[in-house]
Amino acid sequence: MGLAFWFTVIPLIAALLILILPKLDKAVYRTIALSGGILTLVLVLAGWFAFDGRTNVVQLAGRIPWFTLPGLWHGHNLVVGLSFGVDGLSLPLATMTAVVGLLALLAVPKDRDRGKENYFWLSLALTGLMAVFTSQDLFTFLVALELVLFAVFFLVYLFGETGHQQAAVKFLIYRGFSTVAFMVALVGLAWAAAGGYAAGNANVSNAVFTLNIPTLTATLHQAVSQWLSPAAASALFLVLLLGVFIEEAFVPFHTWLPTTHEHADTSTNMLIGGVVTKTGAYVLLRFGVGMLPGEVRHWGVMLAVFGVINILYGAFAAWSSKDWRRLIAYSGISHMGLVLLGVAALNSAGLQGAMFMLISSGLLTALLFFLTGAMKDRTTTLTIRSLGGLSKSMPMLSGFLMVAALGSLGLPLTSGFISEIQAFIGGFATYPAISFVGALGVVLSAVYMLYAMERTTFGPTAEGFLQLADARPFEYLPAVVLTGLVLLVGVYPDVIGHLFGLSAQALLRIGG
Amino acid sequence: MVEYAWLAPVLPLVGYVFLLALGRRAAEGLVAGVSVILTFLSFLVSLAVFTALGAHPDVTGTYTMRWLTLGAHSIDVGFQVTHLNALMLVVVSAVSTLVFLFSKGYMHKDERFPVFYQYLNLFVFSMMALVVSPNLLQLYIFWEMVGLCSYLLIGFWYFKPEAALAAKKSFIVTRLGDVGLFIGIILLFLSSGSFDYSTVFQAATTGHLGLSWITPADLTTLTGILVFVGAAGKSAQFPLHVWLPDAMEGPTPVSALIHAATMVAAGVYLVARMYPLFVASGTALTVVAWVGGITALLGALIALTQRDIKRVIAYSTISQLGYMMMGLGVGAYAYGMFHLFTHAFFKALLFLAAGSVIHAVDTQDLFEMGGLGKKMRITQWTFLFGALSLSGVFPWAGFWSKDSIINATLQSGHMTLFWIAEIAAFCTAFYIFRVYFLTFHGKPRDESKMAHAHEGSWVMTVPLIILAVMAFIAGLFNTGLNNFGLQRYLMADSPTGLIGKVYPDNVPLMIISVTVALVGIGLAALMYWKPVISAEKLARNLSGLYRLSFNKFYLDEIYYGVVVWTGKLIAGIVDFFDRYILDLIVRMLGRLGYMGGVGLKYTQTGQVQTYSVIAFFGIMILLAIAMFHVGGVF
Repeated sequence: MGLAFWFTVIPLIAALLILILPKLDKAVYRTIALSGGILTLVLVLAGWFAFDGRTNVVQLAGRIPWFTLPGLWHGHNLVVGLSFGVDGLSLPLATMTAVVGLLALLAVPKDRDRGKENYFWLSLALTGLMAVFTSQDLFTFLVALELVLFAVFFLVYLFGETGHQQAAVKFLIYRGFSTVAFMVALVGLAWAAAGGYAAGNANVSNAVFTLNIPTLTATLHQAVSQWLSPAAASALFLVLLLGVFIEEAFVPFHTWLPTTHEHADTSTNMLIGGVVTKTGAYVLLRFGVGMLPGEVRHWGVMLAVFGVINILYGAFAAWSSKDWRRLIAYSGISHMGLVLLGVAALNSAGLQGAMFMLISSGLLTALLFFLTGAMKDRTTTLTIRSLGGLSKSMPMLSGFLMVAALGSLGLPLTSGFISEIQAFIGGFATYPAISFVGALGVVLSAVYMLYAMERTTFGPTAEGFLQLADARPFEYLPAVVLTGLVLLVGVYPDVIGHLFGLSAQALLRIGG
Repeated sequence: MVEYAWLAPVLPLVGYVFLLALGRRAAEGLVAGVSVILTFLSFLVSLAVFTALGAHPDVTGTYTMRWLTLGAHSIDVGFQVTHLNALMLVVVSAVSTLVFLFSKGYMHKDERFPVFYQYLNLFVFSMMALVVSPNLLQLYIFWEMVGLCSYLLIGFWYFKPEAALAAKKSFIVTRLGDVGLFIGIILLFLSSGSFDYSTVFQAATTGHLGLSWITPADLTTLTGILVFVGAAGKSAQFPLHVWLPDAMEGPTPVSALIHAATMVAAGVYLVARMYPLFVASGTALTVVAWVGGITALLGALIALTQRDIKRVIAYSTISQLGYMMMGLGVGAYAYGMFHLFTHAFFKALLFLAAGSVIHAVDTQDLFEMGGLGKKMRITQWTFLFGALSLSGVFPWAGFWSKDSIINATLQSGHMTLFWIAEIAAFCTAFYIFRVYFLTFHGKPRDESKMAHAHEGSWVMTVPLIILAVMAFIAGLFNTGLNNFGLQRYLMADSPTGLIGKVYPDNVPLMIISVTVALVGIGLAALMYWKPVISAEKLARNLSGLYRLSFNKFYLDEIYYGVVVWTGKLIAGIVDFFDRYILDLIVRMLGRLGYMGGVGLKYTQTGQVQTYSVIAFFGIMILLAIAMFHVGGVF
């Protein structure tokens, strides 16, 4: 069984262990969950050595068949099962998931009342998220999405702060809709690739119904028109896109994200901001560009315009945010708008930039939530106006926050910059006028981030904040790891660039 | 030697890492000592590279390695040595070394002394890495890094609200310019296929800079102007100059190093570095000339009436950077750089001398000073040297470089710009001697502050003396004495003589310029030394003009009223839309859903396991339906 299988299911095993072990000390559950997280990370890192970086084919694959539907399609059997593997796009995303997941586990307070449940849901969410990025068939993928949906719902519902129950329900409804949209679009695509829409076409009469993602990609990518009429292709694409917009919290379907972030606890916020909000864009790349590249091109102007709307809307909304967590949520929306622009450009720079941005935004958002969470533990508030002068009492935390803010506004030598410039190179190549407008976001991100910094770490220190403690030893680990990765990607982008480059080429090559 | 040029930026980087490792509690002597020594070594490397290049003009070279692959393009990082950046290396490392030494005295007993030196080292590294960048992307990377250091150092005294605001303002205003550069670089990359200077220039000069939506000629102009927007932000050119005076909230050594001698000159350097592109587009060059000219005059006019010693010198910097841009804009490539070279010394000197004064009397208000000359001889004399150099009095350094620019402006036929330059020169001589007389002569206006004033220790006076010597002799590097060595050196980058022109000396013009300067000095003396003319009365009689100058032409207010207010308005509208309108729609939809939900609520048991099972079977059912549908069962 390949590594991808193991690093996906190990958090699940941890979750099940936590579930079945009866009333034990909280520390035991914590140990189990953390061991699961650490083992996952170790295996993912081992995956980097086992992975052949010269090719983009799916590797480290593992698969367990579950049940068979006999004679389903023109006499062929359909074997339904769980199938995992990674390619150049999945591996870095799975790595980021493992890192952020482990740090989110660490960020759970040791004295949490319902520790068992928290570690259970968090481990389950981690498996779900790993599976989203590693699943190689549609069944596995959709199960993974459901798993994430419910696990995160319960994390927000059970462990958030005042108002968290409504926020959790909002999250569930929105993300539930997007999952349904994905289900419809993806099953529709599988059906189309089996010749469902093209009955009577001699070329496709011996097509086989399959849920295997690489096979579907190859089939549809080569000649969509053979399988789908333009109208049907557009319809499926738009349903998929609707799912992406809701899942990714793109304007105007975004209101669930700031609400959720405002009410969830630090650990859940790290997971949501870091990974859960990256799955929609992954769907767009994997299934949108992968299976319907012609539609991405066809709707390119619309995608680019929405990308720029998101960049600017997110930035202005972040500027007017009164709370750090809402600000981070909107800045995430702004970043993801750039992903949309990069994808719309449909060239190697744009796609590569979009992929970089997923990693960069994931790392930075998790870092920002961790740091602001640590500050909130001390100041008890994240309302920007009531902060100030924190550099005095917490120079280290303030320093890390400064790095995170600078990364978020796209300062060179952080991951933010390299993502931004690639996406814009792609954008300017295809849609220069739209990208010109979008470049305004580069200034706006500096405006809202530095405004928040000026009010948080600069200025005179309020009486009540003078005696607050700086970072404790266990808080250094998440801060140092995430900052280190942000700088690593920024200083030496080729560390993930060579994999993303291959993936981008693969997505473009077949698209033609 | 040239292949070791990477040592010049790396030595301060080593210093930065070392200081970071030492931590925030390290001893002052160790911190400053290590920094000064490393920067000085960096200076020696730079000097060696500079002279090696002078001896063998053809050894310039590029050394790179792959950084990132972008589709079919490979993006490299590395370093490149040309005559232009060899000169920059020398200027940056020389001034840095002296400022590092001076800071030891100035920042003595500051709580975050080691952090200050960390930032300074990071700055020097970034600035030198910017200078030796072999391509536009790397330049942009370090361009932003020096901006970051500037931000951190302006906001070094983070607890002062004005410092925090000034830091933010500087970053955002320069970023406004940087977006122009950002887009310009991307367009150049897309149209030439590379970030490398040589490839870009090749395409630009042969008219091959092409994109589908614009003609090559227009694209050359567009990218030239976009690059210049970036340069204008960093070099504080009108209308993006508003951040520089506020940047004076930072410690004075920072003002000397970053906001006078080196970083703000990066914009001028960028235009010089990209000169073939500007030459290829005459329009872009004209824009540079005019923006430079307007800035030179504007800065000088505002400097006439400011009360804060550092702000006068800051506006003076803006004005002098304007001269450099104007020089480049009228085609005098070598003279623009020559002025950058001399300015670095005399402006750093003026700032450090001002720092010495502020350190002694603990005020920046000119009208609380006076009579300091008796207590601070060295500061007085060195400041005087800086002032004479800035005013352009023969034979101080500023005279040679400023006069070559004015001469080039005249001889290239830019008559309006020539008059602007002369008027600005008159104002320059007046405002700097106004500062000189108000600070060092007359009677102390605030006895309590004067009482304890004294000269700083040798770490502060030695840099002043060295800089004063340079402010005196730096101009001689490009005179008949050495057969105009500097301009020959700089022009060696372009053997074909394509970049820029040189003009023969113009003795009558020199006499006019010196006369203008002397009249300015004389007027200042009559108003502030031996008050024959009353400054107050003059201000009253010309109250409209006085207020315009004193209030900086109301540009800050206009910015605030137009740009900031518009931005805040949009942010407010977005906020309102987000909270009330969009959420209202969502709630309405939710209400519809709720009605359906009422019927379904009995399915909620609160059992997690049940939910999971239901969710799981839900997928199965949907999947099954879909598949049976596919199979043609329904």
